[in-house]
Amino acid sequence: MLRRIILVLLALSVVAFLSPANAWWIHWYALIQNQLLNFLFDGGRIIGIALVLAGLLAPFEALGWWAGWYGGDRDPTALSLIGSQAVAREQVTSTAPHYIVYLDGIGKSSFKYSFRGARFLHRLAESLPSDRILIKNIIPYSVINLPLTIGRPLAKFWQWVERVTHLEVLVLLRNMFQVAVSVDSRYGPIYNRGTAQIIIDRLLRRGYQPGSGALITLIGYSGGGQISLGVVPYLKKVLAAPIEVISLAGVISGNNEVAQVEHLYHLVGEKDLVARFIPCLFPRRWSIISWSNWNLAKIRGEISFISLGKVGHDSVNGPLDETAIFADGCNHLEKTLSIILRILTRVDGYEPYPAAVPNGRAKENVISDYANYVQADFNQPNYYPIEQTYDAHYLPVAEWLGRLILPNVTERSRVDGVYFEVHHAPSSQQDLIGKQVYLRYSDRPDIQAYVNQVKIRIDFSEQAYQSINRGIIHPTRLNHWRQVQALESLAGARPNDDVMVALNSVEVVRDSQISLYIAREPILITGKYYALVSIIELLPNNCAVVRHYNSSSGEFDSQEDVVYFPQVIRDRHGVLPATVNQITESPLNKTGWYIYGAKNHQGMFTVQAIAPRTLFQLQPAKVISGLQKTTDYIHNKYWQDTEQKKGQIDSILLNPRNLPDTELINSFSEGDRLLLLHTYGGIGGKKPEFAPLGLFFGHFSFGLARVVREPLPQELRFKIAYAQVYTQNTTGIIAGSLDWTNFVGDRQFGWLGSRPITDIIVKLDVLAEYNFGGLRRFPLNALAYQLDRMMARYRTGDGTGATFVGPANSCVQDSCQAFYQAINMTLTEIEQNAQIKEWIAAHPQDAQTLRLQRLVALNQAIKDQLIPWQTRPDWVDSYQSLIGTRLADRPVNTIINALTSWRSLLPRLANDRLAEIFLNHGASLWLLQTYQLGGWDEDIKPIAPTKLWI
Amino acid sequence: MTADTAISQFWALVSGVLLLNAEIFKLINNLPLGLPASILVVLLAGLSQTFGQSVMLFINRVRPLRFLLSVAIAAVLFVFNYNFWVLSTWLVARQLFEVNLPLAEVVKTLGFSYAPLLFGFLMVIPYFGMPILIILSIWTLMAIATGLGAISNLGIWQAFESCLGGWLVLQLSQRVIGKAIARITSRIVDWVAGVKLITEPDYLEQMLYSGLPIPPAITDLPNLLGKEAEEKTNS
Repeated sequence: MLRRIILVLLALSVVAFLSPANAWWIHWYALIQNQLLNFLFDGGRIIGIALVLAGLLAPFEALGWWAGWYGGDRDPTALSLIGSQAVAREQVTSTAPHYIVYLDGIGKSSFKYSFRGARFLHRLAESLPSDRILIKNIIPYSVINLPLTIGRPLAKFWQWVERVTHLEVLVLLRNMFQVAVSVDSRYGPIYNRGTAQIIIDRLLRRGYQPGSGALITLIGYSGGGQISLGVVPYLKKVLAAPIEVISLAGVISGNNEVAQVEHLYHLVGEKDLVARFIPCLFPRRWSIISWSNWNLAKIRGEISFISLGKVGHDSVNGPLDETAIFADGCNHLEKTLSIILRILTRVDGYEPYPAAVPNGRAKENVISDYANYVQADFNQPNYYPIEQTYDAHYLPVAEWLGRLILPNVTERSRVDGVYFEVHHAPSSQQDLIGKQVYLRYSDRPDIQAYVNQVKIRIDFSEQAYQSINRGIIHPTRLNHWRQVQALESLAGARPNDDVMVALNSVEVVRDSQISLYIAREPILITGKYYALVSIIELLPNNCAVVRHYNSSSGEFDSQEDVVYFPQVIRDRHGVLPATVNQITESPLNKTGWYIYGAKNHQGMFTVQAIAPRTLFQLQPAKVISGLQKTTDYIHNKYWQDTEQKKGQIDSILLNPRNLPDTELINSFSEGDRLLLLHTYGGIGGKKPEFAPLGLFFGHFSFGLARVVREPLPQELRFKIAYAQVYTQNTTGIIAGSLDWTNFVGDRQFGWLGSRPITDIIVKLDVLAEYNFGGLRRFPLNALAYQLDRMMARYRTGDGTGATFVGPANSCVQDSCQAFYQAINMTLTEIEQNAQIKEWIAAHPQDAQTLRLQRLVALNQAIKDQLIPWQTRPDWVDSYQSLIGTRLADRPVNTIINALTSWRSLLPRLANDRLAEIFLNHGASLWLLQTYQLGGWDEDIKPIAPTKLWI
Repeated sequence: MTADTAISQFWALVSGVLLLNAEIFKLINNLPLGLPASILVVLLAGLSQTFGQSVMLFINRVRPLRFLLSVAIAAVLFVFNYNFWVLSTWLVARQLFEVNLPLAEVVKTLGFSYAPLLFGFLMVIPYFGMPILIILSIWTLMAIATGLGAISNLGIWQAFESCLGGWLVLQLSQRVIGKAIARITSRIVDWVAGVKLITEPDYLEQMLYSGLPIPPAITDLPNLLGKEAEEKTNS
């Protein structure tokens, strides 16, 4: 672009100085002496001075309004009070799903619309469906919605200007400077606040329900486009609304938080010199300033550029002109209206004007591992009949089991969640098995507040499309959906409806339709039923003879069974995720395996996931005592000799407080819910995965370990579920709550057979539940809340459809932030609750109070170690998201964010830091380690994650 | 010519400086009343510039009368600040380039170099205010370099370096001993304005959201981990 401009200038100067035109120049110079031209020069000077004066005066309406110089009734805070009283008086509640606000162009001096503007609004109102509410009569160029012609010192003058033809240019000039005020980084926030308040008041008066999620579309004509974007941050904050902007020949600076808008439709005519050239004044619109909000929004697929045809900026030949006719016979107004109506009335899930992001046709087109895996019949849900019967050796993994089914885009508003195909239900609800019911979030206000927080419109970014071509699984079915909620992003994360889940605390409502209401995200599982067996013999057809556990003898001497271990598909590097080769010789076979799966149509139990029983038993192989020794163990020892341990497990209990072994083990009691730190290492051997410079960073996540009584062997065991903050990947692993059987144990999609894994279970009293005289607060609940939010954001890539790992965004960074935020949130919650504060004041020496003080100390330690400078703004405010973007898009922010949280940059470093902090604060840690379990695969070796520094 | 003073020739001198005329700087130092005239330039430039940057006072909702007073006091503080800068520049020029100039001459020269900042009020113009500030700053810097070059044998780059050095020394000394001075000046400014002026961007943003009907943030978390907690504590 720049080069082209320079070329044009060069060409012009060549023409000017070398051609006969040069003579004209000289002639022109001679004329300068002329009296007439002198007069014109003076005229020019006067205009120049007038422009400067107008510019000088422009900001003072907004500034004086804010400072309250116009008297009390126009004081901004007072105005808001008046506004809300008026709202209370005229309160109309409305369930309109869509509000449309029109902000007129800079020709506006009074409430009266220009002839063309009035026609446009009239026809727009006529054509809109009856449930849309159109709000007009807003003067976007006055912070107090005051027309130029009324109640101003110069009102008489403007009235005169309105009457006299050819003087509109003065109004244009005056309002143009107001647009400049809105753009200005100093005055803009004040000015936009004023206009936003007017729009908010009007929306509330027309019955807008803040937080209802009803869509607001701002249509800004010309300068109104800029003002529309300026008010967005305020509207977002007050109304918590999804906002779209239609800029009609809009002049947009790109300074504003264009990234906060759900979508921007930018309609410009090809002959529109104003909308095309004024942006040259705004550096943020230049393509070389690639990190500006404008360019970022462009890359993220948030701006659709739409041509209005050969149309000028305004008046005759403008987009609202009825007399100008296109070649195809329709006039300008008709064409403009039809585009705007298509946008306003478009159906969900379909985008008539998608953003101009290149959507593929790339050179490479890699098939994902996921696509290969689901070729195998046993990886498809319909391989397993829904109705299943079992003897007492098999149990369902949870009461409510089933498959998530993404509703069709037209059914969304009715379903308000997703479909759930019930595969297993409690005995009282047996009739639901085999049915498709609605699965929704509970309508409790606290749950709904959370649900609304993560709703987002998805438009795939350029990188998302590229990533699909590289064989990564993205939520392609959700592209262009509005207000995608967490259940939809879970069900739609993969191209097929194959997400199997378990539900907790379900409320069944049987109306005309049956709905299940849940309070928490479903947990992804593998295998609906399970048994505890030892493998006796491998048969040639991928089947195996197994013997069930006998709880009375404590041995594997119960009945024999034949189960099916299907041959899994190799990954793209040729690595087998699981094998049963020599599994009978595994040291873990004697103590048995939990096998998870279901019967296929032939009635053969098909093993989809396995888990070694000893790993989860509350029987450590070794106890290490003493603070020094335990810290040292975390520091240097626990990933030692990884290669030699292939095929084995470790279960090590760290006891920094020197408690007697049995007392320590018994402190893990049934019902405990404990924090878990998870890290995995790499795959080496003959088919190693990519590890630059031999560094393998691995992966980190939090999880929750519960101590439960396992009914089959009648013993206590750990039950583990992860909160995987996981970017989109080739395997189709979904960011969400994943059961151990799904993320690790799964023979096809899990890592048990191919990666070394360490799970550290943290027993720390300060993280346990607090009970302040009946008021309970649980830090891990806050962690679940923060992580759920983060995982939902990862699934949608904050509306871009893709999340990428970068220095500032990764499993480990975002998990650590969630943890810190969670403890902070718990503390703030306690701080803000008067009853709890009273209780604490009355019980200064109570165990709960003392424990709380230690939580504060723990929080400080985490802050010092992992969050050295400050909480990153993009964590608190998802509109500052970096999730859907890559380093190159926002180099400065990304690098600053990475530097400010460098300690949580590497999974293992963060994991070890956290473990050490917990040890120092009195925690006991239980390390559960696995090193490529199951059958023996000669081709691979386990690799410990690299720990840089110390 | 002898009846001429720097005050009577004030505008002629100012426009000469604006045109970066080196001769004018020599003239300034030869005319009587050069010192008060130069202080006047700085004071007017200070007034103009603080008016140009008065948006901060508006955001803090300063009343009209106090607004005028605040601009005036800021202009006076501007003069003081200027004098410190001159002093440090003079010291730097002496130490670095061993130029021995009378302090009064430096004060007069640098004072008149501030003439471009008389247009500081133009910063008020929306959007174009920032580029105007940049242009004025460069213009001022050029005037300073020309002025210093005219009254000494310093080349333009050396003059520039002494200014920069002076500015650095000033910043440093403000960091080291300036805390107390800064506190006093901000107290004076707050007292004149009648409100405690807030300048941190975060707080300014908060102020802008005050008065809007923003729904309170939900502080009570939903119990996502289910009922087990109650079951356990009940049992």
